[in-house]
Amino acid sequence: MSTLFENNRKKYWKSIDELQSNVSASTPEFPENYDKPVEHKDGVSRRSFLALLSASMAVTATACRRPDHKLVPTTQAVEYQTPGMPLHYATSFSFGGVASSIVVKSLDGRPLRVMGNKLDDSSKGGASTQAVASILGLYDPDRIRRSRVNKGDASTQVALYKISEKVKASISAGKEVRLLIEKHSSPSISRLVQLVESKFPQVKFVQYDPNYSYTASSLYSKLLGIDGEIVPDISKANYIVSIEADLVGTDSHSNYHSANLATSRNVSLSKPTMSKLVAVESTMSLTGINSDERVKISPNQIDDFIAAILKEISSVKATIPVNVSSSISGELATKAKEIAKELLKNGENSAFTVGSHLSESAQKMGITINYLLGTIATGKSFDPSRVSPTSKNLNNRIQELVADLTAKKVETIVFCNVNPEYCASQNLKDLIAKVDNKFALNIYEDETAKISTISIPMAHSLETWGDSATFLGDLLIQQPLIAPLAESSLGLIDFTLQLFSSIDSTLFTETKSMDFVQKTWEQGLNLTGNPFKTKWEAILKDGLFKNTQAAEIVVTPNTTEFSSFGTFSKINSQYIGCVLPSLSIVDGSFANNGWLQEVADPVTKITWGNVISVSQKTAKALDVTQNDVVRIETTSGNIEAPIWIQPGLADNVLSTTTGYGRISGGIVMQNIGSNAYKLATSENKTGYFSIKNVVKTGRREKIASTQSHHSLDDPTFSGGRRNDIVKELSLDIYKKGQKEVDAAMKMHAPEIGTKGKDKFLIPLNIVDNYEYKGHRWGMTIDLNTCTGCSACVIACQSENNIPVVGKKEVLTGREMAWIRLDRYYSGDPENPQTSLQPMLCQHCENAPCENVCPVAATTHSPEGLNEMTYNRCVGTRYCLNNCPYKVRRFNFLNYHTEKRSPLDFVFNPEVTVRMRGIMEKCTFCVQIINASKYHAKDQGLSRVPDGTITTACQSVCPTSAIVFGDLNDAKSQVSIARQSERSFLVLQELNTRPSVSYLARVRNGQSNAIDAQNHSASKH
Amino acid sequence: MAIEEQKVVSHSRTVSLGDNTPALPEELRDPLVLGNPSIHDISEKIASITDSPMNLKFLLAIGATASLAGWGVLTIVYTIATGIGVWGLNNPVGWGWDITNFVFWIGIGHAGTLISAILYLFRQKWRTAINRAAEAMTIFAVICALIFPLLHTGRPWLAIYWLLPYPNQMQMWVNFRSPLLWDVFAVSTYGTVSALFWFLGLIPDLATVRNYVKGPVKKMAYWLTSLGWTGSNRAWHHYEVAYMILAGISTPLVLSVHTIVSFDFAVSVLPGWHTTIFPPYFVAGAVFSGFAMVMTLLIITREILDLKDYITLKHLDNMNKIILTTGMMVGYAYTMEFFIAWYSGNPYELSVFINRATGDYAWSYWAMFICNVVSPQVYWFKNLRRNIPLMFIISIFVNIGMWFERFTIISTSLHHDFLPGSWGYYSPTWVEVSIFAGTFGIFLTLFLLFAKFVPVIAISEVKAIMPTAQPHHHNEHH
Repeated sequence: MSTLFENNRKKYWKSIDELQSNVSASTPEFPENYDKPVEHKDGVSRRSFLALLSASMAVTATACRRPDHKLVPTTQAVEYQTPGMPLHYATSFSFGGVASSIVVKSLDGRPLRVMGNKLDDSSKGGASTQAVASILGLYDPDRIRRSRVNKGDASTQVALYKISEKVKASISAGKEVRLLIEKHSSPSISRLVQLVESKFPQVKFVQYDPNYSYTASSLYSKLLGIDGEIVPDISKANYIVSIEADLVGTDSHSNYHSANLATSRNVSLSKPTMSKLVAVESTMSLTGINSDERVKISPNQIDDFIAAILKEISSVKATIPVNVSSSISGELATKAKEIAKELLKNGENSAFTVGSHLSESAQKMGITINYLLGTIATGKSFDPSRVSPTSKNLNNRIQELVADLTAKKVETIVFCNVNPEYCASQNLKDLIAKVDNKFALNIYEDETAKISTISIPMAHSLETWGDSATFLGDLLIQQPLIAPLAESSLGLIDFTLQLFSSIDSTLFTETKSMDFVQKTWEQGLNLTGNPFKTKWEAILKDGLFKNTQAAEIVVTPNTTEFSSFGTFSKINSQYIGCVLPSLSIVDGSFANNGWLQEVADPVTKITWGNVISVSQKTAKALDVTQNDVVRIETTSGNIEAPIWIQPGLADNVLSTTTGYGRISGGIVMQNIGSNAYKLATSENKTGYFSIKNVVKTGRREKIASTQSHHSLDDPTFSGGRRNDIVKELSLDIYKKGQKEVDAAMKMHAPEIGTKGKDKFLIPLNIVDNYEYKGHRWGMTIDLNTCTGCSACVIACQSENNIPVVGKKEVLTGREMAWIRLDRYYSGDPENPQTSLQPMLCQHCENAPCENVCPVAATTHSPEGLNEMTYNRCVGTRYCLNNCPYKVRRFNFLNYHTEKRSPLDFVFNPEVTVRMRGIMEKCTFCVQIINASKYHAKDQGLSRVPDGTITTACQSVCPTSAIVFGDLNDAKSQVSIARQSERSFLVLQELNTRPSVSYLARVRNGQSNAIDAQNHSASKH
Repeated sequence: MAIEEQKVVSHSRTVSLGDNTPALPEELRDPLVLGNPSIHDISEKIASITDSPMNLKFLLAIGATASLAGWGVLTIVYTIATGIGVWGLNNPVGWGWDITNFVFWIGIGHAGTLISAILYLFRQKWRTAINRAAEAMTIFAVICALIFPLLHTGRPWLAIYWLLPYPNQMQMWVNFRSPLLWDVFAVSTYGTVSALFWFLGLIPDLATVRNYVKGPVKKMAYWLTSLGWTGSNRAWHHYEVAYMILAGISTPLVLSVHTIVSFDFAVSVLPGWHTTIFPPYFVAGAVFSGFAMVMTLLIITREILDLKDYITLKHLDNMNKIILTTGMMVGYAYTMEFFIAWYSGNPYELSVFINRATGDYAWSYWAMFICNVVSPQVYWFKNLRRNIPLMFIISIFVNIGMWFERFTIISTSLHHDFLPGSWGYYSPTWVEVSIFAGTFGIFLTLFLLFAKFVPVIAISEVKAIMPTAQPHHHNEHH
């Protein structure tokens, strides 16, 4: 990894005039020596995107702004850069105050793909779907490009000047000024805020996040004296209880939890133990899907359920007096007792997590349970030193803001990358409307920018300097990979620096965000002088600074606080509403991102829009069927959305997701879903609420779901259960040893080429098998650790130029994703078990697709890849028809029709952009394989060493469920994984001989699939 | 049926309701041409159609069909210009109406070849009245069919020549393992041979028309196309030999074309496609659908062109028997598929077949079953075999049923195959419907033009089977 930090290399600094002369029209398209080894002289290749960008800037920019500081254009050749060869930079991605370090692949100055950073322990080398998709956001043509004052375009300088005039006026008039910023964990922003607020007491920064709840952090502080909310480490627990805490789903630390869950699920024949995850929930969450046991509960029973557990635990562990009573009875009471028993058995090696949208009582009881169990201790699952930095100091100033706005104290308000006009409650929106001066620094001309008189484009996180802290105490750096594409855009730090230095020029010693961030780190890390410079280079290379001094925090419980847990509030309406964040576009910030709109929700498989999920029984009670549009009416607002019948959902719950129903800000987000924030009664956004009325509108709306409801033992499968598609084991079988495991794994599929036990399946070959003399590429996917987060889907889309097709095409069934996540239900439709299976091209040795192509456009490579020759494809789709896995994707239309600049820059130049009429599918990232092969050859190696190739999907997987490598190398990770006792091939009875093998999921508890297997085995 | 019951009046002008069973001596069977026309009457009757002015009825008819064809062409252009995304196909269902229509039209053509070649070799004289129209129909059906394999590709401008094995400097060859390539060979051979066979049979008749028509342009046209036919003994001799050879070449094509078309499915791994019963089942189905289409067209033609004496109830009765036979053959295939799906123990196959009968496309399956298997059962009764309105309805039913057969095979196997995670549903768009309707427009337009300008009945052959043309050896057969 190299760095972009070139501050001290003055020779690289370019003035605009020089730059302009560099890209004059007389420059040849290719440098004279383009085919010779490149020496980095002046001269422009047509790939020099940055230079061209800067040139356009030079043409249009006014002379007064930022004249002296530039990122290095490729004309001046960044260190290590060879044209056409990608460079990787470490930076960070932050959303909702939670940051993770990422590695970004950059080609000729153009950021192309986001990968996880293995050095970052808070994300465990994974990258979230939002982080990976942020590349598309960078090149989004809908981003604001020019500043606006009232209705006309203006230069950013003018806009800034006008804002500063108003801020100055407000300050001198004794009025208040508020800057609404997104939640952050940035030490630099904190320092900035502190500098500004101490100088101007009337100015306050308010962190705004519609989905964040401060309940937990205030409870931690009140009960245990811990400043902030503890981020649990579930890898430390053998028994994990999740009360609607969607640890691997909507939780902002889902990558961390997923990786830890995977660690705790590490099971082998020599160590047949693994953690048990019990999910107690009313909605069907991703955590529920991944749980070993799922307990369905009505929202009104949750508090009592926890109370029952707490009661059991406190009766045994009476370290602090607890006064709690529960009205739960029947089956759930037994279940609560059972859970309590297990928790007590595992003691400090357990974890009890409670969803942040649940009531204060629930969360208080959750903390109490953890405290009693002893899990809140250094080195245990709830390590008190691992506190979410955003939750510290109770940064909750929203109530204050509401009070100030009500008292009409605030005259000027600046929105910085927040969109309250979309997601705030009606009350807050009304209060904001009354504020005199409203300005916006947003990425899009969104709802909030629309109501602001002045709007300045916000720079993307890949365009600006910044930093973040993680709950582990690590500091992450955010370095820009590209100059702002909209020349007039500013990051939050630059904006604040420029705004307040124009009011008081002595306020800051630094004028640039880079200097400011560097200074923060220099002060914060207490490393000055030369050692810091060295350190700084290392930090930029790694992307982070590791905190090695683990703070010992002594927990001092405030015993009196535990006496009461309040009265458990119940929702009395017949139907209970539930609003939860969308897994992809979260609070709507990513609504204009086509990749995230089109990635199917791993649970419902719905794309492009939100629905109202109900259980089968509730649908019957409401007399509605799937696709019927209903209106939910509450005291605060109404939404209309189509009904979706969701197995596993508690009865009488109507569940929907946030982030949809955006009105303005881009073309992609138009007319998609409805705004669930309208149902929020307070600034407390997600969770349950009472419904006044559910009205059938009589309309029907098609839901763009990529998969229909089919469970593995669905009678519509008729003719046979298909349990050998997704194999599962139970831990009990595992404990019995190899023989039992083998028997369970081979239940249905006989060995290929030999006489199977089932005499009717003996595949024959009429041609000789391929011989693989060099490499033979293969992949294994561990179903035991795959949580279904779908980051792989986006990473693949990013690397392989996969188009976004839109809702209409998804409805027709033409989504293009090369990896899909198949979801299968089994068992009771009221509370089914769910299995997930990423499905991609299996690169069969006996590929059915290869035989049938009349023009030989899909062929077998000597290294076992099933290759697509796009040029040759005439599009008969016969290969698609004959593919038993149906992983081939056809370009029915020209999907890359969006010509608006700079969207074309998102394309990976190493991969062909396919036109209509062409078949495509997973290539195992052949471009990455080939690059690694050339690299190995350069180094004089005859083979690519194991582990050097990381496919796009693999590069973001937080649980390392995907392993790729050489099957001809017996020592490679993939060969070892393929030899695992859990390994199986999908549809191997067809004798396709896939190169992708799956590792069976192991359930700690009863598995429906296993029962079904035994059932069907007994039939034969 | 006893001979006594027959009204043996082969030389009278009364219409016989007699049987045509081979058990009867030829003289006792129904006459093949009614009304006892003279040799000259036959020439006059058939040739006059080509020389009469186009009447309003004809203009209206061809106006309607040509408009339909034009609409079809427009939608084809729209498809090529925009991409086949304008159709309803999707990722599990890669083929839909396109290949359904292809197989449908190819199947239609089969009757022509069967009648002209196989029945000729078997000396089935009753074929003479209908073979010309049936052969023409074959060619027009092949033309309609050929639209689809080309149009269904994503990039037809490349597929049109990339699917042909031509030497090139890049050494790029087609994939000889692909059934689609076999299709290219099979269908192009079939089209070529059918066209040659048809044209060869036309030559003497075109010469007859050449001698009949009056206008100079028409005369020139028929003069050119009759290739200087003199009607000499020598010419007739060569003609007969060539006709026999082409009949011999065509005969295996009747079996091969639809066998190879069925390989498109049978060679795949897909449950519901991967079945060895497909070749005979498809051939039977093709003959079935072809005869139904011939029936539909002949009933109309004999009404409109007043050819009731030439295309007699006897012909129609015979054809209905073939429809009944082949209908039961496909019925057997439908049943056997289910039996094998269960007997093989292959859960995927069983699932596909149960899904066919009970799943999302059950309506299509039962439409097919009722039209193809149930409806022809009425032909067990002779009076129903000779009931013109009924047979017209049944022929339409069979046409519909056979279209649904192909649709059922293609869609149900694709939409639910191995992994339920990939399952989908397919329904066509207006574009696909328009193109299919357009091919009917093309087909009917060509047929109308044929009926107007080409001797619609093989004049020379009909003459040859007239009693006057036969040596009157009452006691021996030849």
